[in-house]
Amino acid sequence: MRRASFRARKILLSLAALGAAASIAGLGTFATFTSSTSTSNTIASGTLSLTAPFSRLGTGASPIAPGDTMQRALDLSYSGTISFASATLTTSASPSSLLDTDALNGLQIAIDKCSQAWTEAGPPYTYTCGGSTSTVLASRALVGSGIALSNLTLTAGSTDHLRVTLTFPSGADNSFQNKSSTVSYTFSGSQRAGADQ
Amino acid sequence: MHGRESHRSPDRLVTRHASRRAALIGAAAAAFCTVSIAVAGFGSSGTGGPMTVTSKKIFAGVRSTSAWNLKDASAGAGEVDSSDVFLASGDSRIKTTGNWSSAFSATRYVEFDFNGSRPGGVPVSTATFNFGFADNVAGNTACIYIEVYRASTSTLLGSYGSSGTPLACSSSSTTYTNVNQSIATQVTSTDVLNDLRIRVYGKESGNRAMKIDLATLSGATSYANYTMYEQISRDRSTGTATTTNWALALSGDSTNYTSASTWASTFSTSRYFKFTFDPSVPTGAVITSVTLNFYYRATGNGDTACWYGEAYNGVTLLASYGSSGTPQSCNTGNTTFSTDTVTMSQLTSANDASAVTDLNNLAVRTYMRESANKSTAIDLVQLNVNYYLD
Repeated sequence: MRRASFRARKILLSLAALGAAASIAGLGTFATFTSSTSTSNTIASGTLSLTAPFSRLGTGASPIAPGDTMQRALDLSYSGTISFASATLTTSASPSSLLDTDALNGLQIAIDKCSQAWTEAGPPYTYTCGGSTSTVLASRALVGSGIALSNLTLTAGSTDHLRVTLTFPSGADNSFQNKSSTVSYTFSGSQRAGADQ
Repeated sequence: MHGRESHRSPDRLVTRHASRRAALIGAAAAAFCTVSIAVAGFGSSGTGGPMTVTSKKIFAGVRSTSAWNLKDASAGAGEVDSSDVFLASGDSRIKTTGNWSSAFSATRYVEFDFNGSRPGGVPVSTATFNFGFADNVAGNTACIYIEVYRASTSTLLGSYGSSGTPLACSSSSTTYTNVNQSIATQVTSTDVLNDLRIRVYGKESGNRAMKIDLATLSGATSYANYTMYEQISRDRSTGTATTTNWALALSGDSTNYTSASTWASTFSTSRYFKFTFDPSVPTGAVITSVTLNFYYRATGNGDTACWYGEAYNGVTLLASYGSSGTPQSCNTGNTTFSTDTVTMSQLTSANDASAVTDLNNLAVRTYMRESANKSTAIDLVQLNVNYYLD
């Protein structure tokens, strides 16, 4: 008991000595300057914003038959101040039916991009591109989560002009008759990698 | 003051174990924070839709139905009913079976394969097997029970009655017993309805025959009422099967219909066949094409048979196909049937605002002539309707 008390006292004394030395050293430093200048450095975070200011994705289609296609245009804008590194698409259906649950003969989705706004005709909507096109998403089953998208601009302040094409495969049989699905689309983006600023 | 001293007291210093535990927790917390910072970042999302997509109630497709109702006016002296014997009750057209045993047997039955002319994949709300029969001998009793099968696989779907408890009996040779047995439990979709076989087991108290007046299916799908007719019947009442195809239902089956009389060598408006169909096209359907198959030939060697046709709804003439002056076609010889397919574009929705009604009440007359005033043979009379329902 007495030994422990002695050791604690030694530690405290050592810390006190170190603190006193540091204080003295600091005082000495300030004593060196006779004038001072200061600068202010404002650091503010940017914004990341992905919006769809124009979208035909709310336009449904009824009644469809095997072999039908549905084209819907969508502008994806990166309206914040920070560019994106990547974007994904998540789709879900509620209510759901065989139209979206059958990955083979249910609805298929493909997305392509035009270098300028699509020229729209219809309804039923069809689109032509006056510029160049590129594939954002190759044809695949409609419903999925975190589906990677390619060839997007992703640069802050820019807009991608997209055309979403849903296809009802010709192989769909009579079991697909009189079905209905309501599909929601969520485009998600994540910021670019951190960098020196 | 007292408190500070108390904190400084060696008695209150943490133990070595407590220090280690605290260090571990601190390290773990630090690691967690580091990972969180590395993973976190700004994200944003935009949404589209919702977009509702609905498919057609019935997809486009050709539905074919034979003519089960045939009126033969080849003699030029009025219509003779030559319809399928199982078409309707009370029409005096019956089938007399072979002789049954007085006890049920697994090898003694009559069975019927029905035509599959309904659009597939449609829910069936009601399905009834209609069977009319009587004993062939006064004072005897005939009894039946039935089994429901998939025709393509011979899979038993269900049964009504049994050898111990017959479904129905008839003790009359003049009054027919009509059985209207619901088979809705087995037939829930047109996929089954289009592939249906009904087997009727029978027994006769005196080991004699019975008479069958009616064997049809009727009911309703989600979109239309229907009646379906047998296209193949098998009489195995004796234990040995005799198969009979409805003459107009299948081509190339060596079963054909020969006119009840000889024709004239020139056309006459009083000499014709009249065929009616039961396509059961749903109200609201869009009819995109209609064709008629009419396969025929002369019966005299080297003779030439010709025909032209008219389509009616009741007494209203809808369209003509050829004429007495310009036949729709001619066919020479008594060995090869023609394979005429007549396009009936007048009965499509694009050309006929009442196309559904007209098709469901369609009667086709085929006027014929035979170069040597002989009869003609018919192998196939079939109506093919391509339609969809939104």
